[in-house]
Amino acid sequence: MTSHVHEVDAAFAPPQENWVRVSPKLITARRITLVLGSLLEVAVIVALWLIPGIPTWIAIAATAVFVAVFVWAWWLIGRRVRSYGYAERETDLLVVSGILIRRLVIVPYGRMQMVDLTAGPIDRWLGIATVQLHTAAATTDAAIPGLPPDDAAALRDRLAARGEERSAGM
Amino acid sequence: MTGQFPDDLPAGQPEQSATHPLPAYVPPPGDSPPPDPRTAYAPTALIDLSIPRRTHPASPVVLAARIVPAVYLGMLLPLGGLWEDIGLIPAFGAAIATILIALVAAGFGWWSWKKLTYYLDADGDLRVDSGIFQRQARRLQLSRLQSVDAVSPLIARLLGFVEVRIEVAGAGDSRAVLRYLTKSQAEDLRTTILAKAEQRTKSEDATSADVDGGEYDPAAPPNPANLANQMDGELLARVPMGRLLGSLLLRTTTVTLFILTVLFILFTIRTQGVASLAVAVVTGGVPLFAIISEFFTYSNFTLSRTRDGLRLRNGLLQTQTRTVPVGRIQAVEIVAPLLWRRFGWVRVQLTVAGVGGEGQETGRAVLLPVAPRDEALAIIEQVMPGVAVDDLPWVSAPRRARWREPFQWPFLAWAATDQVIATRTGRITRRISFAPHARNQSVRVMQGPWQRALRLATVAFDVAPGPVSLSALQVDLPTARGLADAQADRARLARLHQA
Repeated sequence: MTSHVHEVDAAFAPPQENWVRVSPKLITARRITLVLGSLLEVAVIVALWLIPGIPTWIAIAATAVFVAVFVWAWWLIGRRVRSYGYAERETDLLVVSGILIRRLVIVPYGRMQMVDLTAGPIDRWLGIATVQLHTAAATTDAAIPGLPPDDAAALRDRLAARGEERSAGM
Repeated sequence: MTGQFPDDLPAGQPEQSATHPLPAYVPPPGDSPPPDPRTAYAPTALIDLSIPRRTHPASPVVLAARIVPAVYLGMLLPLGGLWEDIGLIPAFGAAIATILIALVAAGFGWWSWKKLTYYLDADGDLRVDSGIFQRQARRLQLSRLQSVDAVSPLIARLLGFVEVRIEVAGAGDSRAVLRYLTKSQAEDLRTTILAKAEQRTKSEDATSADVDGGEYDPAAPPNPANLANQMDGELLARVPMGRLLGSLLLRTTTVTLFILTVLFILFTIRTQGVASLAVAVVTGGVPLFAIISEFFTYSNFTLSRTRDGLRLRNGLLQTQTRTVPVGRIQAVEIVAPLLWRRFGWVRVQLTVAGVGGEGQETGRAVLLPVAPRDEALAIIEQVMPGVAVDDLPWVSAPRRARWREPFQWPFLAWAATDQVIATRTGRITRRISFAPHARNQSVRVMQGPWQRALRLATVAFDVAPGPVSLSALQVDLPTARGLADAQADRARLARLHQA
């Protein structure tokens, strides 16, 4: 298998030296979301321990499963966020993401119909934003999360300007 | 927008503008030339639409007549006992009730007839004002006219009336239906609207460079007969009823469900239970219903080429008409289900932007519900010159793809020409999909763990939402990124050349 690793990497390789990576604050943001999403499970597990009559082994098993899933998700978030990257070429934008399922999307600037800049409450608190590209196809799926707001705004403006430039005369 | 696939095929449209008189010109009786079948219906009277006009005064009667059969059956069947209770022969009692209801309907019909007027406003747009309580003012921009159709539903046809449907491109008020006119009134109206539309289009062409369908020649004099001809177009294909019915019966889902039905019935007979009989009613009934409804929808299917694009007409009781501008075709798919291949049949469907001006962004259009493969390919080649599906330079998935796609791997392939990107998928139902490079929005490379182990990747070519999707499945890994980068370039350059 090791001889193939090089090929796999080539398929998702950056066009120039390196992908522009996203801010590690995105890891924090997603882990906060994970913790908030786990509150209900935690409540159920606490209840399992406290309510009399429930066999202890059930409470132990539930806790073990929860902890295992939580740790795995916690670890995966770090890897997933580090897998995000983008590169602005002269004529198109490349976005790469994913670990288990790897994705690379190439969007020619002339095809962009809209560039969205969004930031939820946690994102704003941490100081990150998401830039999302839209084309006429619903399946394009090119979002770059975890950008510092200034970078995000600058990227959006650059993309919008290039989009206009490339589709001028349409 | 049609630079890639010009509408004006050299062999296609006969030039008629020079040889046919304006409709306003009435050739003296006696020495009129033999009618050209393509213009024979083109009437000669232009009507003055600057004053508000009404539909035919008999319209309320036709409207009322339309509901008579259903009302009569409704009065007769469920209420049969009631009529006997009050001492009337059911058929007679139902008839009386039907007449009363029809009179009321005719009354309302007359009222709404009084309230409906149509005319051309100062801007040259067609206005249709209607509504008894809730007034509606419709405004159709004739410069964006898509079609003017005289349609005759069954009852109206028996009484000699037609309804006129006027459709324009674009969202919002895009369609008006005038019920009812006599045949000759409808034709006069059609000619008039076509003539006005031609004028409007010309004046707008002069001011705007952004015109769909660059084949239009603003130097030609306005000629409604010519426009009418072009709107009616040149017939490309017709689907015979027998073939349509056969194809519906032989669809994979239909056949599977019917086999299931037979199994359920056999099972019921063996076990003498009734539970599976209910299932059999569903498995047998659903495809039967689907067949009947699709048969009604796609009967009398004709495909023709017109000035505005491809004209699709179909329907048994009600004729549907759709105009698909060739420049708005986003992607094409040729579908060949297992049992159709015996007969060499295929279905061709399209993703189209702004279908028929129904306000949708994009949507589905069936270019051919069923056709012999050769005929379908010939039509595709005519619609998109240079796209020869059988001569595409297919690049097949490598043999090891069978570990990921054990059934369809031999058929998996992609191809790129200087015009289109194409993919081939499926085993039981085979699909060949392609899109002009100019319609390819973005390119994606995806790889799951199983694909990584096999050194394969999927390359998807994104097009506008619709029935057609393009994915080159199980591409040999070393070539995947090259394909994606090259396709992104082709897509970009195609758009540049168009601009």
